[in-house]
Amino acid sequence: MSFPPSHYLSKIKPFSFLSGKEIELLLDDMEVSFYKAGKTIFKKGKKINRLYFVREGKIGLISDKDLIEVVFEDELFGIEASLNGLPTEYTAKALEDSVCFELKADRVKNLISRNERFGEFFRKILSRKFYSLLKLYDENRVDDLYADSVINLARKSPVVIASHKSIRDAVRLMNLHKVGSVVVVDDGMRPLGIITHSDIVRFVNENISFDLAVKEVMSSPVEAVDSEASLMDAYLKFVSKAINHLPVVEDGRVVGLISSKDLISKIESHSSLLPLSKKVMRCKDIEELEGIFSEIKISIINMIESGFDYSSISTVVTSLVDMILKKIAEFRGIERKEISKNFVFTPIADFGRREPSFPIKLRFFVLVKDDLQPLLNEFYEDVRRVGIELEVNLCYGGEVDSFLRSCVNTSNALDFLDSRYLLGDGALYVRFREAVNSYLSNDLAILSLRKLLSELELSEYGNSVESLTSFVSDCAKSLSILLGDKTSRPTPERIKLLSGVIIPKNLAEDLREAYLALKKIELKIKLTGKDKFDDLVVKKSSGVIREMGQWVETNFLK
Amino acid sequence: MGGNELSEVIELETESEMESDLEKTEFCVIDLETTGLNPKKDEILAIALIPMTGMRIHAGKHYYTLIKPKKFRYKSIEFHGICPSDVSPAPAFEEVGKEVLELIEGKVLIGFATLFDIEFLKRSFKEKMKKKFSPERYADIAEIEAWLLRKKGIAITYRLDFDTIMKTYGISETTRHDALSDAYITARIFQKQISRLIDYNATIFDLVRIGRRLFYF
Repeated sequence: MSFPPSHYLSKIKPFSFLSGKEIELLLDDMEVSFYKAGKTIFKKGKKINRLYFVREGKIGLISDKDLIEVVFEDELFGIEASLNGLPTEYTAKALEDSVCFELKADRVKNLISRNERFGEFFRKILSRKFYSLLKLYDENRVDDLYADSVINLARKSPVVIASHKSIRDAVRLMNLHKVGSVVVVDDGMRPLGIITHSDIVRFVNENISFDLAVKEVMSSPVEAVDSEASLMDAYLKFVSKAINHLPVVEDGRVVGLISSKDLISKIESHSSLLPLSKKVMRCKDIEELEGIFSEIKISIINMIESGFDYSSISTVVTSLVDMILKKIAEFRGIERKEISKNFVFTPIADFGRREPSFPIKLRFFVLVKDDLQPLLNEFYEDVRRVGIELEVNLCYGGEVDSFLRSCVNTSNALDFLDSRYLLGDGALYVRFREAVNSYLSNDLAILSLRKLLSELELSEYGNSVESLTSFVSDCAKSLSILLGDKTSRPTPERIKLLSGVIIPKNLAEDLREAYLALKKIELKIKLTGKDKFDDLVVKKSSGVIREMGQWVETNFLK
Repeated sequence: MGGNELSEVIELETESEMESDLEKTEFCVIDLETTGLNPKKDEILAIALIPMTGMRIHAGKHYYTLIKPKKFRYKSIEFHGICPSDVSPAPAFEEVGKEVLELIEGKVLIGFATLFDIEFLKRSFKEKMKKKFSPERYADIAEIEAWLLRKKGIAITYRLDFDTIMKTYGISETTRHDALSDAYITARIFQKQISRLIDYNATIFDLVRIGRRLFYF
């Protein structure tokens, strides 16, 4: 007999993980209550023994007259209080005429202990592991596939060659073992370089004598991967360096070799980005780049749908966009020495710390010595044509300090903290960094924290996902400066470094989880659309961010 | 919802609210499947009961049973979908009658065309168990709905059907037309009707008067 409430719940996460029999158990003690708009469901500080599922209407969670959260249809509230037996941290009130399914906490607890996935859901909510919670619901679980270590997929007896042997010897070895590459090693099996099929083709084309020693022509230093590293690490190296072969090392010695083909054969459908990086390297003109850029977007959507985590996606996207920019610089001839010594092109802000958002909008700082304006303008035009939005801060060589000073009062004074070298003159970049480091003071950090808090409306539930993530990354920036760390880093890394030093460990861990979850949802909103489950994660995460805001306020601004 | 309205809701003091006796009344929502429409000839095939206290539906305490009739009428299968093979292992009315009575006793019976169900129960208790069954307090959600509409100034001369009332309250359940689902939907409708009755300061005596119905066709 199908009872409508069980039928209904069985379609909604996390209840969809329960068997029919388990749902019956849950419903055994369930009540369905109607609350008129304005009716209080429970008051703050009360103990409750039921979890509430909103079947219809809207419930407001209120603390000290502030509406801290709105719970919509198909969402749960009262989870923490009822499952932990703690007093509630808010008053729950119906904002509209509402109907709630009220589930007995001990029934839910019972199911948590007997149903793995259902249990995982609540354990992650209670321990505030939002990022892993988000992962739990990615159907494809691609990260499991990629979590395997490299050594399990690598060829165990790598073909190696001593550095004094000739190219001819290398070709013989490749033919004998039917492989596409040989690793050049020293006496201790330490990797020195690599020679691949495509190198051989190039040697023939360039009339290089096959009697030359391999050490003269090998690609060196060689990119290698640790045997304990995950397939994801290998994958990211393949994509970001546009290479096909990676020696696998253990304590510095070559113990195997993994090729992009090995990886593709294992995880076929998810590796569409692999050929893309090579396409960028090979491409001949801007039109081709335009096409590749739109393919990249599709691949990223695939990555999101396959359950890749945010850090991997951002690493891949950053390296691909870097490659495209370098390629355009090559087309425009601005990478030539006589031109490049006169400027430096530096990504700043989110792209500077390798955390791009969508649509890809790059903020740059360009320092020029000479008047390169017409040439640079052509470069910008090409970049925009490919589909990348650009915002350029242009500054003349002698004026870095005064330029930075003029930024103190602008809204994004700390954006320059995150920067990295991309194109142009290295010495100019160093000068820019020195100027940035001396201009970023503790006062500026405090000023920025104050501003951040005034923007984060502590009681509003209307904060967008984007404003939440930028609050976290800006907070982490300011706190890092206060700690004396002025290195450009991705936000999760910053939070890790601040954890236990400035930010209490628990809060830092929650914040990192919340940030990564929100970043992924931010991508989803822009590219594929989010679902009900994401809303839950956003709400729970914004709770952590509110907590962070209060913590900053009491510790730094009072 | 606009900002102002929202803050008004938050500020609303519920502490001083007068509690209506309707909020404490014990109800029992009932729905039957029968072999036909004539209580004199036809028999009960299924009984669903869902207890309520005020606006709380005790969903977990629902009761449902199929009943084996003495004479199965094949024509009715198209209405309820219950086949002879479904009811052949089911208990006879005599076996469940006592439990049903206990569940209903002392409660206000709520249903759609409640009087029809009561007639069937009356007959069954009388003929099969030699028991007198005549509940004093019951209400029909179609009658309550007609009353609520009249209060708004809309005169109702025809009988409101189940689907129309469901729509009025924005209830869309996909599973319908078995006794338990229909009883549940009836409970969901009644829940909201109570809330409106309270707005009109109606008491339990009013409800029984309003919800009473003299004919069941």
